[in-house]
Amino acid sequence: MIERLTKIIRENTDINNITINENTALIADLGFNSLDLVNLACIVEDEFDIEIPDRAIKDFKTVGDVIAFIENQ
Amino acid sequence: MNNYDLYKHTPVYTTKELLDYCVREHSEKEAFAFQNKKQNVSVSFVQFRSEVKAFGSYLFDAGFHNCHIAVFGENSYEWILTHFAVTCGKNVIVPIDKELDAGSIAELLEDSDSKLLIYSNIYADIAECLQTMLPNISYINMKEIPSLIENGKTLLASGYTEYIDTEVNKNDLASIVYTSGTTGKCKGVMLTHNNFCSCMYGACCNVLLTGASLLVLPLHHTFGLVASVFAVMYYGYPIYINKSLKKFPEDFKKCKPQHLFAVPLIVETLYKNIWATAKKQGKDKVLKVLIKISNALLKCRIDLRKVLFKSVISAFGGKLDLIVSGGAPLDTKYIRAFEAFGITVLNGYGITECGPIVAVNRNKFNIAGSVGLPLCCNEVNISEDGEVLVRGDNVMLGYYRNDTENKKVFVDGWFRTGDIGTIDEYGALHITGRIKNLIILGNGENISAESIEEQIYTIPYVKEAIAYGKDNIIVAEVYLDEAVTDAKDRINADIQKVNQYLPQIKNIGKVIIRDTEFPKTTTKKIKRNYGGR
Repeated sequence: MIERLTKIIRENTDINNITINENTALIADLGFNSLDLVNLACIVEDEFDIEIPDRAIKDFKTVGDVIAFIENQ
Repeated sequence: MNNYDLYKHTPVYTTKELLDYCVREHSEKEAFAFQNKKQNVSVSFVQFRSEVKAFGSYLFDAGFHNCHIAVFGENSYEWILTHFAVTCGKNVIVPIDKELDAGSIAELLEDSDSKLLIYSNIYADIAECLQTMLPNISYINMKEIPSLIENGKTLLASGYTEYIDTEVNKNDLASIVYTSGTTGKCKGVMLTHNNFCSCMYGACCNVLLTGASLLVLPLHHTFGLVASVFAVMYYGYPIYINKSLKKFPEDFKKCKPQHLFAVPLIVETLYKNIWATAKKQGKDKVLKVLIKISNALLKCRIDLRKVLFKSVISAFGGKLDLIVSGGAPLDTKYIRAFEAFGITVLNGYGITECGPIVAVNRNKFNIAGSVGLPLCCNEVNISEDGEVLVRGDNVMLGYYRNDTENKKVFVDGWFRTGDIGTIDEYGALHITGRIKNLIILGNGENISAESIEEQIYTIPYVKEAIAYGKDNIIVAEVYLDEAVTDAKDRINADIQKVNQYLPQIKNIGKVIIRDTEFPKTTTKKIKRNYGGR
């Protein structure tokens, strides 16, 4: 899962030289802003064929949070 | 470039007058369009007023008059309907930020003396918590509104006129809007009907609207409400309600808006998306060349932008020609960049306490680097120490039950904005800095610096800290206890722990470690605007 999400992040951002793992913080480490998080949610929805409610997005603080959400679907 | 006469309009002074004006002038024209259960719904001005009267009558009959009513939820037709139904009956609306947790909402409901909370079904779980915490408040789920409208219509048909006969005066309190206080405690900004209406009127005198718009700004922010809703209604154009930013690109194509009211973060994101799409399609180099050609042709007064950039504009529905940006500072490079594609970006400035718009650039008098000309409803002055002062019909009554703050912000009839600015030779306002300790992010969110610093100081070896916003992220600058030898190695991990306790919007994005103490004032307080920043 982490590889798949890392690929999504790299393909859709300019983030290439940061090591991404489950503890990577979306805002502090990857520099995401609120709209980047919405964008990530849209891509993850398409990629994993799931729906992410707006309310869930505000709880995404780390890459691990996104993975946990996907795995709980 | 010369200024020109203000656009002419008939003034209105209350939301009830605004609604009557819209029905009189625009009657059966489409006022709102949105999706409901995957169906496209369109509501005319006549239908909207009829539903406002019916829902308002229901609320009155249920005992909700002369009271404060809170509204909580995502952007929706029901949200706007609630706002009008409440205020047109002389009740006071208290918009609640949908990002807040139950505890914070409970504080605001108590502070504002709200008797009823009207909430969206998406937040039913939070409303359930609130019902346990505050059992004396009544609750209505927005999904019940259609049936309550029917109840109201029955009341009206039986001759019930108490609601529709209610006289609303321009100086009546219309809303209590909570805004971030510099010390972290939210302050309730009391806005009258005339504060809203004069602000809307002033904005419409500066800016000409000519078509439909897409509503994306959150309605609990006054800029979203006054600019994206009131002003567009006043002009008589449809408002397409975007319920989720995830649907933003899709809604653009569906609604084909001519106008967009946005915060800088949205403007920047749209710009980045243009180039990301061009790059993906391998057309970025061609686009750069086309921009150069177009700019050269413009100098010869040949405008081919609609033809040359058709594919760029089609991503926004194909008709977008005006973006009004407010809520936070916007880099002028985006104004120039969109102008190159034929989309005018007007930068404005406001503050909730001023209804909220103070100044905005004009369609054909757009002064680069400025936030535009002050609205005709207010005067703007610059104090001796450079602070922007505002006086006029749009300035709030004061903070709700907060005389201490009221004494601080009003000086000789002028409202102190806490922002620093200048006025240029054209009369346009330029914002150059900030006195108050607020972090204003690109999405317009105002965050108290102290509330973040308080959390940073929970790290025992942090001796001094300040938080501020830079490039849309929150920066924590810290001076660490030199006696703790591994402090520098531990600080990033400890800030991450702090982030886990902070809401996402308050997450610290960058840590700067200082080797020396911060410069101090004579009273030994950290100088926030020291030269290093």
